[in-house]
Amino acid sequence: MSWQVIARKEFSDAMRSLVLWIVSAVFVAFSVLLVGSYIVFEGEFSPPDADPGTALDALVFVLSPIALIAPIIGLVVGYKAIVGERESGSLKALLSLPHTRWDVMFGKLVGRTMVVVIPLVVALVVMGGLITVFVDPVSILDFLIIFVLSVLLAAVFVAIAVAISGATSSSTIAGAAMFGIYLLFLLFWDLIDLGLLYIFEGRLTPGQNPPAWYFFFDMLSPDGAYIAAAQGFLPGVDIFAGTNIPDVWYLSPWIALVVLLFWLVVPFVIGYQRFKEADL
Amino acid sequence: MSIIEIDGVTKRFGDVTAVDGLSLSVEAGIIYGFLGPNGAGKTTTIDMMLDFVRPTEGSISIFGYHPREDIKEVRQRTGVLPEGFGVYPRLTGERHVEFVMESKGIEGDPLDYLERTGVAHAADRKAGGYSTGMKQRLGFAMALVGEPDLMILDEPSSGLDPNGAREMQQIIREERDRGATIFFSSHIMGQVEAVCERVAILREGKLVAEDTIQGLRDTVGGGGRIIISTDDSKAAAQAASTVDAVGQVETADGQIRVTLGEAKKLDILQAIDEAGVELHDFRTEEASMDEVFKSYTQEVAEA
Repeated sequence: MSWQVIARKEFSDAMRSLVLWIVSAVFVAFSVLLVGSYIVFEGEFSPPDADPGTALDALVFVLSPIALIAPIIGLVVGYKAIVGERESGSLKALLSLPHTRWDVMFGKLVGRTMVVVIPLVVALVVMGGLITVFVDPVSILDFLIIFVLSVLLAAVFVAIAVAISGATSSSTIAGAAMFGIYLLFLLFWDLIDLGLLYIFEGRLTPGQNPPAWYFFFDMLSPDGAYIAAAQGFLPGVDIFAGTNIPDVWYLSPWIALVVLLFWLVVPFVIGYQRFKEADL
Repeated sequence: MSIIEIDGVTKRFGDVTAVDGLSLSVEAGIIYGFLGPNGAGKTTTIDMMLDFVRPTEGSISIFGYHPREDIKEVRQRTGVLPEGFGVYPRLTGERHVEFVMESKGIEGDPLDYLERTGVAHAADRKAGGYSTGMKQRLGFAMALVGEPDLMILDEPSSGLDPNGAREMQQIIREERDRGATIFFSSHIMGQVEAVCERVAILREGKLVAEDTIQGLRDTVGGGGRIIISTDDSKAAAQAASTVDAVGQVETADGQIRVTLGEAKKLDILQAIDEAGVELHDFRTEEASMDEVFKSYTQEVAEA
């Protein structure tokens, strides 16, 4: 299969990239620091009569940082996938081989997602190991749920990055778009949600009983969906401690999963349509 | 049988017409030169043959296939060295060729191809460190993979020294001898002249000539120049310029140089003889292909 040949080439190419190894090392170091700080400081801030932290608490503690960093890695790894080859002149050589433009885009998505999965696996295994040794043994099921969701989150951002990479002819524009995407999902999305809250509810803090739509809007971004899915799928977890999540069907983790799949597929297909019609 | 069939193809990018009503056909088993100054539309035409760019009007067929609908069939049987070929800087030369072999499903040793184009010594080095000439040789090796029926080479000798260009011409001839059709673009007449059996000349997106090398020479040159040594070059020049349809007549160092145009050599010699000027010697010069090329691409076509 054509796309597999390309995915393999992408992977072997990226594995020789110094930047990738630096990003991975930073990611892993950051994870160790994160779990380490949890282990060291966990007891310090909890009230004396609180239950001791569990392995699951520790895992949940690392979720938000993963939700912040996996997108950056995904975007960085993906954004030059096609436009970079277009600028260097290797894209014509690639496309003069028996590969369709779909083979190229899909192969690049798969190959570069694999590239992100590796540091993610290393980081998660290191974190799981530390938690098992210093806190409690980590449940395999909990670990797998977080693993699958984290890979999915990273893949979403690789897919968005590759989509934009195929849709533009300038890597400067692609780079700027990556920055915009990151700000949109990881900063502005929450601000918009708060703005809506102000418009409809007249307040700027969600408080203890935020409306269901407030959670739903939050869940519509990839990282929001990631957190919502983790919250729903991990048994006995309370990520949004101190707030009551309304019991409505559309706040189900399965809907969150659908949202993640939407972000994985739709931008990619739109980017592919643009790439398919482009004069290279 | 024609391998490439281009029929009334026009490509416009916004207001710019890059290719304008181009039609040509390339027979199987020949080396076909596609010539024109930079910006004449050569690369755009090649890009359309490979479905990198889609024609605004007209149609193209390669082996009877449509470049877009039958993309895999066309590309499986075609070896391409694209214009401005760029490498993957982190991958070795050998990995590049291996990747082409995997893509086309060809078995064998990548080194054989690199050997042939003269970069085997750098096979295990990252291609990012290659010189321009080495990159071009690598791209050529990639185009040779799997004995393609058609080779499309866009400015293949760019970045090569004269020796490298000759080696490449030799390989191109070998490929033709095994039965391949070679479509070879260049803005340098000398390179096309050395290997091509037929030539198309493109100017501002239009086809201005399409013929064999000799055919082009005959059409344009009319026979080149005649250089005559005499005692009285002034009188000889005067006599020569009276001949019908003669071209330019120049005098220098006791010699006269007459561009023949449509005139016959004999008429000029006779005219000088009749003027009573004694001839010491004369020699003729064929119009060089560079001049032929210039006459097609620089002057406004008189026709």
